[in-house]
Amino acid sequence: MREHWVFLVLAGLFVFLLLFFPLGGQYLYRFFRWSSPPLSDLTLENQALKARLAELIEIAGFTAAPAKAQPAAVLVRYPFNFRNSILAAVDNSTGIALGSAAVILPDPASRAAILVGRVSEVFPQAVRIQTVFDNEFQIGVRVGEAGIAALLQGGSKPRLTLIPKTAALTEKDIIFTAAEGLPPGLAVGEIKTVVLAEGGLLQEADLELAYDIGRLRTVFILSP
Amino acid sequence: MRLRFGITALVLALSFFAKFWLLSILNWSPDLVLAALLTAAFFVDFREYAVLLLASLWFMNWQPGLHPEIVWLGLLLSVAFFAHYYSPWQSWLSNAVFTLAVLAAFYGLLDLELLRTPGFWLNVGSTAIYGAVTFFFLQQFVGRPSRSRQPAARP
Repeated sequence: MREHWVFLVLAGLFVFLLLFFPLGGQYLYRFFRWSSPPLSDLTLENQALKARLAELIEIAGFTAAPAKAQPAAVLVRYPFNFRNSILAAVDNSTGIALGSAAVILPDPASRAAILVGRVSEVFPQAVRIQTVFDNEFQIGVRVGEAGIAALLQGGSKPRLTLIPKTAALTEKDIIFTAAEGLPPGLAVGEIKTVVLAEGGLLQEADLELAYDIGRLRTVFILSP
Repeated sequence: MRLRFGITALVLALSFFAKFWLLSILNWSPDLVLAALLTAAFFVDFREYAVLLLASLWFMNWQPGLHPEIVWLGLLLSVAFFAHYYSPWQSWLSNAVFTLAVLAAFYGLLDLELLRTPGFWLNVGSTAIYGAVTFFFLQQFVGRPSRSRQPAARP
């Protein structure tokens, strides 16, 4: 009889937690976010600056309006497969727009940034960010200083698709954003390997990303 | 009863750790927690199962408020618990069948197209294997499953 009450109280406790303190997963997430930094800041900064340089070469003469970067603390990530999103706590009093870019800023003083994902849902004090590791994440990008157009297809291993067969891509070419609603020139990653796509008319490429999504502590939400 | 609940809760906790660890290094993980919960359904009573299920849902929840996916998952796992009573197969086979059914129902709700992808079947296979390992571990330390059809006794 006493055990019966113990289980009833425990079940009631978890119902209470689910309703009023729903983010139990954040404690596990924090535990598994290693204390060491994901990669050297130099690697991140290098990718971000390469993208900025490529963007400047491509759009010489134009200047993009500076974006406002709002820090957001990563709380928890989606725990199942096929979708990849993170929840980040942020002051939403200014009204963060859906589709805003979420980035890492290796050097907050410069405009060079690395894209992590886009805001897919907005809550009063948090945002959900669909990351580049999500199966449904797709944006237009450009590659290298030549600015070759391609499509970034998200997934557990993001890929570049729809690259023209004649495009000469090499390893370590920088990939940067060129999509509607996103600031141009945000670094996404670097080319790792290039192969001919099925049918032989286009090319595809694997990416090398400079960060580990599981170790992010803070991201910045860019507002135009 | 306390030992049974304790061991099952421990297996569930280890499954959580393994899942989050794999997610942090591979960006992918079999649904270890679902497998452990489905297996636990064979060994614990409903009171114990309700506590394990609610605790798991709390640890898995990923955004403010109750997302429909979490509610749907809770319902599926509750239905799976009671469906064990009517399963015509031996426990280990029921476990594998329920793993497939729950994963198909859960991911099918997110997007039916997912069920056609190799990734889904890789997920089902690896989750079912983990479920089988968990099943035999619990059988070893907790005893025979309390529900579902047992192998027929030899004459």
